[in-house]
Amino acid sequence: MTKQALLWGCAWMITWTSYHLALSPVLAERLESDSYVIQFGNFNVTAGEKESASYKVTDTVGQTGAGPYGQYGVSSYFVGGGFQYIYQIDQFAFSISKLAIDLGELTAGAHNTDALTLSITTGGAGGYAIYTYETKPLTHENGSNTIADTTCDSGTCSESSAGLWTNTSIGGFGFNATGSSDVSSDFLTTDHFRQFADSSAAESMQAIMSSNDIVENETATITYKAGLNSASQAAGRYDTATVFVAVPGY
Amino acid sequence: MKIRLLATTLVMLALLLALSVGGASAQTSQFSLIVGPSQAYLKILPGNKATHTITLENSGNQTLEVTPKILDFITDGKTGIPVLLGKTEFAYLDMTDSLFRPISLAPKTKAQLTLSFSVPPGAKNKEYPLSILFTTEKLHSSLADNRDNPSPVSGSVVSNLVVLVSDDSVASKKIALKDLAAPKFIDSFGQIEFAPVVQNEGYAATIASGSASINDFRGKKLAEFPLYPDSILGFSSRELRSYTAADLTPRLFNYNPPFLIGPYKVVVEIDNSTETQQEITTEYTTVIALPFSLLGAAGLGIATYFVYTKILKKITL
Repeated sequence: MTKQALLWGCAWMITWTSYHLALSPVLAERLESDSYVIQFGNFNVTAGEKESASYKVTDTVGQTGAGPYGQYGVSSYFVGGGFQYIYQIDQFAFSISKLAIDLGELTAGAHNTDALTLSITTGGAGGYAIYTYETKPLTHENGSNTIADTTCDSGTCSESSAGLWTNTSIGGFGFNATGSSDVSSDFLTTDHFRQFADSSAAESMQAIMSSNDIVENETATITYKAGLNSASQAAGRYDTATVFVAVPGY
Repeated sequence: MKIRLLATTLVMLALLLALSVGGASAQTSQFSLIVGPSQAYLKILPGNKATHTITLENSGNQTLEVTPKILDFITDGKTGIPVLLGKTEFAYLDMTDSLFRPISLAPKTKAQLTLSFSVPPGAKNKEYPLSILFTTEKLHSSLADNRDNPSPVSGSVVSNLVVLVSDDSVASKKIALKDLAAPKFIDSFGQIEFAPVVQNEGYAATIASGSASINDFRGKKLAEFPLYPDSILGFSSRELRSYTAADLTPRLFNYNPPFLIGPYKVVVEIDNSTETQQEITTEYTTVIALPFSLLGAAGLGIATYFVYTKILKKITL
């Protein structure tokens, strides 16, 4: 009986091992990448973008003692030692597909949406982050009625944490971000929404997209959504201003 | 026949015209701003002056009004993404009236902002991480334009500048390992993954250099990871990254063979050498790989055997 049980256990061990060995990856060097950009030609010999002998030098001379700051004693200069400093002189590009959001006439029992696209390109290996905030709550064109930021279906989403929001009887104002692996992980689906951080209420802007790596034309779609909480809220056009801030890493 | 051909051509031309007009009207406003350099380091000797120029390019199709603002930033202690503070305490910037005046930037044009610094003699050795924030607004062509776009969207772009005020003749390098962040035990079918965090104990930014390796119980080197040369700002910490010769993009420290067993030594060697002195700091930890899941599978196998025989007995009775 015990012998049979041990044999049974061994069979499970063999099955488990075979499963893992079958799953184990073939070990080989990866020679290509989506973000693979060769911007420098050597590691140990002086190279790269010298603009003037006395003012701006970007160089690569091997790694011993390499640092972001240069030699002592020059009053005004920049020296980048080490290959990653080739990235420093690169540019940082940020695009927004449109500069106005139109949510239309808001009425009870319906959600209105509009969307824009963000696109970012970084040259530096320090990555980037995109933050967002609103300058005030969504306000009726009459100037007196406002729509509160959404708390989603469960009543728990905030400016830093998205929640599912599909119930059209629940009003509010929020946004979804989708379309990139760099988008914050709390946007689980296109129905997950967050509030905008409200700068008029001293809320800090919140990161919605980030990466620790070089990106090229990384794109995300931001969908704005708004709805009235009840028929007692004034129908009509509401507005606010939203800001996206792109910050490069170092 | 000729009339039919002429009519067809006219219809096609009219269609093309309509499509092109439709395309133009459907075109949306676009914000697209390029800033360079995105990151720079500037060392200024006390008693000296320095300048730093940032170039902005409006590659979108709207005229933008760009307003520069200087803010301090701090590190998040892990990544290289700055955490912007609401103001600056940096006192060595030459303030002029025109410095923070909005710049009107037409589509496909460039503008430059030059910052001038004057550091008085005897200024304290200190590093100042700064973010130059370019806040933009679309210039509305008319009141009607403003009315039609009730919810404006704007973009801001940052350029980072780390200013070091120092009279030190030799750049010091004092990077210490804060946390190797490797597990004590792992499963034999798992992987050795670690994320060392280092602390720059000096006041000036420095570059991570050195390597990490994984050795077996005989001391044989199984994997080696060169440290990615990330910048670690003064008195701050940062998680290290690696790269391979084949793929220079930064990556995590990860060793994933098919099977692991016994103790493995994870070693991190940090090169603190300067131009005058060679210094390598070595830290290590031991990770023990045991076949937890294999033993679990055996236990589960034995348990299922007993359950199976018990059920079989009940059925036969």
